[in-house]
Amino acid sequence: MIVVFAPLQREFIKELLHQKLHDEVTFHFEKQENMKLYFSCDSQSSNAVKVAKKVIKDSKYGSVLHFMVEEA
Amino acid sequence: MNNFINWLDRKLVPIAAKFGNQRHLVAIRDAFASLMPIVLVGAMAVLLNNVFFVPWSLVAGYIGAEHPFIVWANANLAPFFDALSAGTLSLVSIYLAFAVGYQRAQAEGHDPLATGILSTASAFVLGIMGNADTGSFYDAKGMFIVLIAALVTSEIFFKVTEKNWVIKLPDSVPPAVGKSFSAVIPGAFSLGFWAIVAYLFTHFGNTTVYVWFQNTIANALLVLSQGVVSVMLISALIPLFWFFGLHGANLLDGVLQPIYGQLALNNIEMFQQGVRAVGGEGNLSVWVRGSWDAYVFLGGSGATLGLLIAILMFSKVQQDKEIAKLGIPTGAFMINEPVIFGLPIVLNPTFFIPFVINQPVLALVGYTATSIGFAGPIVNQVPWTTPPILSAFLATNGSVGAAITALINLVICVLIYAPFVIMANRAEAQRLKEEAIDTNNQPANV
Repeated sequence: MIVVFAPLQREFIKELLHQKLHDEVTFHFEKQENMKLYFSCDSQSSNAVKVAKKVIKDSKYGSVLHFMVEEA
Repeated sequence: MNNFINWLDRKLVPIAAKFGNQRHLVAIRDAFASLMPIVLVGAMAVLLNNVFFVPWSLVAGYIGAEHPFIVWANANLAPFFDALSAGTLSLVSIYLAFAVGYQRAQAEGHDPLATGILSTASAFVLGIMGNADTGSFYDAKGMFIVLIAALVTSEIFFKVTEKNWVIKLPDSVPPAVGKSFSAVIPGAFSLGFWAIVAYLFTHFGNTTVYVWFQNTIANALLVLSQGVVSVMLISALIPLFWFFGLHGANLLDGVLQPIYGQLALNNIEMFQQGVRAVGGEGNLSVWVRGSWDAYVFLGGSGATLGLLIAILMFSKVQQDKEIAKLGIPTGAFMINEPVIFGLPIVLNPTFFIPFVINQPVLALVGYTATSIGFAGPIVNQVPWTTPPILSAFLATNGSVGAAITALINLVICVLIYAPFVIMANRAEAQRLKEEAIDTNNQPANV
């Protein structure tokens, strides 16, 4: 399980990761607590954190969003 | 609050993304980032000389310039570090020209090597080597012109290539040779354009682009960038972006780095050349890129080390105290993401005012202390992860006044955050009270 801290564009991040395969990791959106978005993943969390960070950074809003990804 | 966040999502983020993804600004930002090894190696070499080995070093200030160690180090060690600085910081505009061209081409799917080389050549066509009267512009002084030259060169190169005005060789020719030939015509257009510009300046103005820029726009930019209002405005803007969940550094670096980054490198070069006066044309700049690290970003953006100290001193919220304890070690090295998202600070109305206003206040104090000569100017580049106070001390080549200023700033930001931490205590007490009332009012399960 990983958690994405996202003050902005939470829906965008959900769509970006939920049920999508990125670098052999599939993310599933589980729940939201304020700015925290929880995703389960079919890979080691440490690897999933790296992949999620890269996917968000490479997205169209990635360069301007201030976010953090951690193992939940 | 949700409506406001929705508004930010719909209106502000797309505009910020357009600005943050603007291809020329991205190329400038990434080019500066790619120069990091050169700038850091050069800056470290200058730092070591300035602190230990030369007669005007920090150590020499304590033990005397005639001390046998200084005499020996100046003869045997300083030349090694001088060579490192001469090959890095003193030629930084050349590297920048290449890096900007390279980054632009890579982003647009063109030949990065050819574009980088042509961008570098443009800097020379425009006269970066200078003459006996003007001196060269290889160092930070030439940065603005090479930035413009590299960006325009890249555009000309792309346009000509896209029109397919290229020499095509048979497939049997090795790829490297084929690529070189296909860059000949675009290269001729790019360099030819700059040759015309250089000719016009020399023929009609009896000057070069570099000298003209230095005497006109650079001085105007210097005045603008060194104004206390500009410094305070930028200092407020950065945490404002962070607070709303936007990447302040990424958004502003494309604009700030060419101005304040250049001034930082200028200060390093000028200090080495013996310039000690601060403020005004031909002197060391009062405010450069490193000034924010030394006096403002104490513990990271928003000077959050002050907040952590205020929490440890005044907070009654157990969770906040735990986060503060965990945040102090990383905050000491200027990393504050765990605090920004952990407390959280972003989108937290309680901390909006102190998070945004303390930076301009700290900048004002740092600026004033440097202007009046209490703190020395920033003349060394230290890694941004250097702990507060030590960072100011090293960046100013051992100015005790600078270290005291950073310490005063740390106290100021604790004082600015303290009332809001106490306010958070009250809010937490109220929340616990309401929670207790809710629990008492719940019907008991029978």
